[in-house]
Amino acid sequence: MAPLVNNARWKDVTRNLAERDATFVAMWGERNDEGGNVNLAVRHKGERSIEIVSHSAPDSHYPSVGRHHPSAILMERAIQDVYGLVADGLPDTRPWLDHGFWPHSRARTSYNFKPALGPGVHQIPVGPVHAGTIEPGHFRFSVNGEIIVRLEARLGYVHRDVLGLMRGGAIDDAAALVGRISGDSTVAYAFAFARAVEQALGLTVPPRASTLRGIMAELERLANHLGDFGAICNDSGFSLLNTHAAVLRERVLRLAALVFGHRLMMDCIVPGGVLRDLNEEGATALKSGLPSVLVTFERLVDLYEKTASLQDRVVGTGRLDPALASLLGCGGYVGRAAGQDFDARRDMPYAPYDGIDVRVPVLSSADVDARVRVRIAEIQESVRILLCLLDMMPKSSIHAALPNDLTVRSGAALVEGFRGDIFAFVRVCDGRISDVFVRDPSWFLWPALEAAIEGNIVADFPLCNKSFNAAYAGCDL
Amino acid sequence: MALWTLIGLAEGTATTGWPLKPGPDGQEGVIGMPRLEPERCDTGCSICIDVCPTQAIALAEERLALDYGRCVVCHLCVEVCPTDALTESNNWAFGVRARDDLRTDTSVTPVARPSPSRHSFRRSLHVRHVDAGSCNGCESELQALNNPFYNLHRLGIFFTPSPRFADLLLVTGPVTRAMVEPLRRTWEAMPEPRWVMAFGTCAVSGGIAPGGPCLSGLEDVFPVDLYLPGCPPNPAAIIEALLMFLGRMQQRLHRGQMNDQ
Repeated sequence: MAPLVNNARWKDVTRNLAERDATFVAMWGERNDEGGNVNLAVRHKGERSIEIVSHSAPDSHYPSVGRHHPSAILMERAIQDVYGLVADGLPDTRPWLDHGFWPHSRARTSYNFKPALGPGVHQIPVGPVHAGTIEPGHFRFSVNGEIIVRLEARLGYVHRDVLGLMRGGAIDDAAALVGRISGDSTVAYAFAFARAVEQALGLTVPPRASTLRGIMAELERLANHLGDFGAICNDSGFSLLNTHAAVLRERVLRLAALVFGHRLMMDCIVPGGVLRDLNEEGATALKSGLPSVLVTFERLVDLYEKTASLQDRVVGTGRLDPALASLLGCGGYVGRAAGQDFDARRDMPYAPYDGIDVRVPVLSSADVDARVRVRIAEIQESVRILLCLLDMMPKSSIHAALPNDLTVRSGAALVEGFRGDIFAFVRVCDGRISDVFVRDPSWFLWPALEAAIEGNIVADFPLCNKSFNAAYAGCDL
Repeated sequence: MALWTLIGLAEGTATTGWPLKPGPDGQEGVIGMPRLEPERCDTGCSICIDVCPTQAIALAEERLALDYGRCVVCHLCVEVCPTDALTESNNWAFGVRARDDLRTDTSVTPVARPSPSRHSFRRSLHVRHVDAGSCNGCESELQALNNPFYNLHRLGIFFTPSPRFADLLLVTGPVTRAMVEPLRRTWEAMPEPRWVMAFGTCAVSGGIAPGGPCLSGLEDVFPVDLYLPGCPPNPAAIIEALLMFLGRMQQRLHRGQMNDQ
């Protein structure tokens, strides 16, 4: 259990964040008889572990972190909505997840978007129902002619309280739920949650299970990056690449189904190991299928680079200031395209990546093109890692039984999903979940998108949005 | 670009002949909904009931009954069952017109909602998708329908950006309370005749998250014409369900039993 700290230590950690000696990881709340606690997870510079500190909120109030460090603001607003714990000094006290429709809603007034004033400035409201087959969220554009002056995203439409459903439940049930927080990252979520449980219980998973987890995680990254690559090209009007990339994505999903029984590999990773083993036939299918995906992909990359009309749309569009990426703690392709040299697989290594040299692409131009190029490099790297893991394939069991422990234990883990690092915290007691939090990388991508879009034209918003591809369900929870 | 036309021609047709012709549907290896054979359950241990995260399994007159409309295909029940009463299957074509066809409990008679004839829409159905609380797994598979393997357009089924052109409202997610109003407005913007589809286990029954900030599925908002459980339903299951709805394929699941079992 995270140590309860006094005001002084809480302020120290907040100052570390504000002075950039530490990176903000997550914040979440919990209710108890005395009011509640607020937990803060940070990653100190140069350290390979995550520090979690808890501050009590006896009268439902605690000192705001967001006041000093902006990436905490959205989470403090969410904590206020879900747990009723109020951050003193929080600069933005509007509700975030709560739209006033829950049985226990605290939000009672209509939502005030931030104003943008000036001659000719007007608003374009978009959503929550969008034109495509995507998730719901509302975007409020303030525009002057074609130029976006301000964008504000309003999410919370898909809040299901999955964490609340997990609390009090059995570990296995919680594992099924955690894989359904964000379906496109189901492997990474299950992986992070399983590692947190295993850390809490002091369990080491069999080496074959770790390797299989790595294979699943890389297949998921590959499928999503291929889909994004095509979709970004499609949003700039170049549908040919989208069609070809969609073929490659489908081939990867079919390989996943053939080998692990589920196209998205849901429920394959559980605390203690994995449920699906890889047989000879499956290994052969992966070893022959993946390199051929890469061969075709290289041709697509060549076309991407040589098509002037496409390059004209992506280069220089949606530039994110690297200083802001650093301030917000953006991970994944968004952070790495803006000079943030962090990848949990390399910098906070966990099995099976601790035995592999993970090469991390980092660029500094921070535009749509850079985010595409980071994905391209990660696709190539994922195939290399997959082939490497397939060659390793240790022989052992694939699951270790969880010890039944009556004491209260907690664990945390950071896993690199395709969007960036996913943080999971869990507290277990007697085979049940007493507290849990899972943080999607998208918490930091949405504010980054709002900033990156300023000064771009409205018509480039889909392109920029797709290049960020932040999850809605992942941070609405 | 001319080169790419040649490359495309050289690669040949990616689109599956199925479902217009017999042949592979592209779902090789996909593990489907669990198969329940209650007569094999002789221990009465009820571990499966305890372990199911969505209460899909229950006892009905001292016999195990499974509601596929609640099943999220996590296979926890198959893992724990000591007697093979619950086993893996490769059945996933679970699109039905009547909710009760998803229940193995045969004490109820499935009745589909009377709805306008779809005969004129057999080769031109326009679908408007709304996410009402999905985890985006369903969206991932819906997007796959437009890839060249499935090429939904060739079957005369199209996704439309505007509800004004839509015939079928396809809804994913358990329906969060915040999405009720946008969902209702989308439906109101659709011309008649219009139909409603509950897509994925969450929309059928509330799935993993019934209650609290969510309703218990789409039925709490609209009468539903077509149900397709799955977590998420795979592209072939979606195609089968839509073609069944248009009268171009037969419904395969009746009273919780697959026809070909």
